Amino acid sequence: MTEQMDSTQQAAGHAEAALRPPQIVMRLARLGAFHQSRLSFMRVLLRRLKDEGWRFDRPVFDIDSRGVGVATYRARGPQNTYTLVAFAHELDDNLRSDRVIAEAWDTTFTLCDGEVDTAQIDRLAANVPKQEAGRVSDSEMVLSRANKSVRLFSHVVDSLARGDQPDADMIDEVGYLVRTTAVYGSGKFGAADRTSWAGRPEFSGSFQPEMLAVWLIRTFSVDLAEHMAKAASPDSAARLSPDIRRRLGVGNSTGLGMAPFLINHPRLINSWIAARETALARVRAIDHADERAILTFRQLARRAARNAEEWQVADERQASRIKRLRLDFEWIVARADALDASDARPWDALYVDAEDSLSLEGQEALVSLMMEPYGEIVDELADCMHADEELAHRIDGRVTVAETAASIDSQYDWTGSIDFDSASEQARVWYVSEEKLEPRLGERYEEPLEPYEQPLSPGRDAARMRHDLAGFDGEASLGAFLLQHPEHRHMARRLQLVGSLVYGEIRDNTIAAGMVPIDLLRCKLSFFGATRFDPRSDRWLRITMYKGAPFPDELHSLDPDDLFYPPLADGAATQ
Amino acid sequence: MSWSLGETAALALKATRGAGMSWGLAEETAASVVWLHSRGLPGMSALCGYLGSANTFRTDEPACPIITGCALIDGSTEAPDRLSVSRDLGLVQAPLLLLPFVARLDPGTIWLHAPGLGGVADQTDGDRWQSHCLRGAASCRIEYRDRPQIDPGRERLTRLGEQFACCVDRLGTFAHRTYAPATGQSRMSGAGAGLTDND
Repeated sequence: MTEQMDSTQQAAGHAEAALRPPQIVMRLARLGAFHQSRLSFMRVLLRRLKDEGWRFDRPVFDIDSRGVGVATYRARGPQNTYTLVAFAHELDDNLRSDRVIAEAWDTTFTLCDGEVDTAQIDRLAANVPKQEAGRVSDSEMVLSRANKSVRLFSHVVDSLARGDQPDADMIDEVGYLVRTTAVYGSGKFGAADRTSWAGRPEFSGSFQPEMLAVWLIRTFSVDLAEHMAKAASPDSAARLSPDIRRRLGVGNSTGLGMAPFLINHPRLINSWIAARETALARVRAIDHADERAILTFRQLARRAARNAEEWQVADERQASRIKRLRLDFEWIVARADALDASDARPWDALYVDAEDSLSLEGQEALVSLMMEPYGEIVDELADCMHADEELAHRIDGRVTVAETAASIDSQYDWTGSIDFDSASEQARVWYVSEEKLEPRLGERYEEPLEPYEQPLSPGRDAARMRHDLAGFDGEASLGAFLLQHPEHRHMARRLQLVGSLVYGEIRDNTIAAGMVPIDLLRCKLSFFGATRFDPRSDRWLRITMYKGAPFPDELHSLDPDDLFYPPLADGAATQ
Repeated sequence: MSWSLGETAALALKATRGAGMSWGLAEETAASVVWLHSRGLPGMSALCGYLGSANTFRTDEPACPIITGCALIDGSTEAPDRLSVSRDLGLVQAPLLLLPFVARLDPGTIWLHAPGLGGVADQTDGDRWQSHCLRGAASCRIEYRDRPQIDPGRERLTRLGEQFACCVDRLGTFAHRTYAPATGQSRMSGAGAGLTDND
């Protein structure tokens, strides 16, 4: 472990087992098996909003009977106020597309800093519905859009208009009324830069404005359906019952645009993974579990098992993994039932056995579950889950070529077994398409893409730099080497940066023929708190966010952490 | 209309790469342009002028300001280490782009001298800049002084203003060179291609 990691742990004052090493954690197969946890950003957000007594209202709801118009949702905290401005549109079925190349959507949104007035709404009405083709300003923090799940939306509106509740099974099957297809923040399309608001306590973690926007979008999706039911049957329309309503999350379609993020943000990824691994280490170090923790774990293990039972996907790879996960949960539940307050280091023993007995899906589900009874030692780690990425981390050009070569040999030892001269290990090219300015993955030997290659292959680039270092004077400085080899400047910077970050680098070849891009997506989405990962191919997937979570009007009376696992069928685990 | 500094950095990065510099040098350029703008100095104008005039990025005179700057912060070019000592850097193109590198040199009190750059600490109005500091080449010299050239307490700007719209457009054409032309194959390999989303 580095000095940085050691000091973080010691400062926290908690006993910890050894952290899992990056050789184990930073593999795509494992990162692609992560599940939501107490440290997921939507849970961090809801805990804070509840603890600080945030208030929510809907100052504007100017939507007509066809479901077209504008609404605003206001969130007021101890220091700051934010307003989601939601536009609802009529959209021809032929134009409804989740792809980033779409140009029209059912609903469009922006999260504003502070209150909004009519003039601001008018300005936003001319821009937000255009999304990437419009502009927002530094008064706005998030830009997003969502399409309806037409089938479920119609069913919910029709049912409510008849005075009935919608079919719960159908709600569980789809999981959401609207599905976001992009949630842009941090200075995109003119929005406020992260640096302008990162110092605010409510946004001190990662992606908190985006998480707030999506949570309010969920409320709008329900309000819109109820409004349209009421417009259709003013006298008899029902509203969604709270239990049914809570089963609705927000969907999300995510594709390759998100994939490079983990590679481009080594400091941030290190902070996320280090927090999660530290939480695991703290739990494993507990000498004895008390009865309360054991009961909580047993109950949540069963509820998580139910979640796995309800998790249905068409994708063969994921379907097979879920099938195995269900068996893994039988093991976890049996071990949970056998836990006893007299057991020594019970969580460490459980985890060690799980490494031999469970699939990666099962192991990582267990890691998330083991944190659940221990909010008092886990939740504070959320405060460490942020980092300022530098555009150009300063290179120490005075180190020698020989020292640099030794650093590569040590940090990128995992590349030693990869033959980057073989076609399969360099099969892919990350590039940005002219058509929509989004990252894509192409086939190096089938398309003329190499001139456009993005620097998203640290393993290959380290091997190339190592080769050229070998032909240079070992006593020369790295600065002298880079003057002659400016093509290695990006890799030299990365080498020195990730050298101080235990979990900053993914230890897999990101351009190999067998690389599965959705592993990158799932890792990031699990940190958001997403559930129901539903791969639609090897390069895009659908997820659900906030399914089960409280709505703004009930946050004060419910425990948001409890609701991220479904209740048991007999209701034994509901609040 | 204004741009965030995140957009400014992304555009400077892609434009520099599109003009032919390596990714690593493009990262240095983007950081330098943002450094300048956050201090009210017209980095985008300098980059626009430089990329528009440079056919190659030279290490000899008139030198590339980014390569010259990297050599300084990497230690390949020794900077003066005592008060009042200076070092000539020769002819450097678009010297304003060199300023952020010099300002980052230890101990933070090295000054860049170039025609038109005098009084930088007091001069933030882009219209008053002499053109050869933004475009063309000038003789540059760095000097060890007893205080920073740019006041560290100066208010930081967070947006790129409308007056840089022309530079944004022009740099956009350089950035465009980093985008691969679409092909039928690439369209069909995009995420979600060929599927219906009416469900």
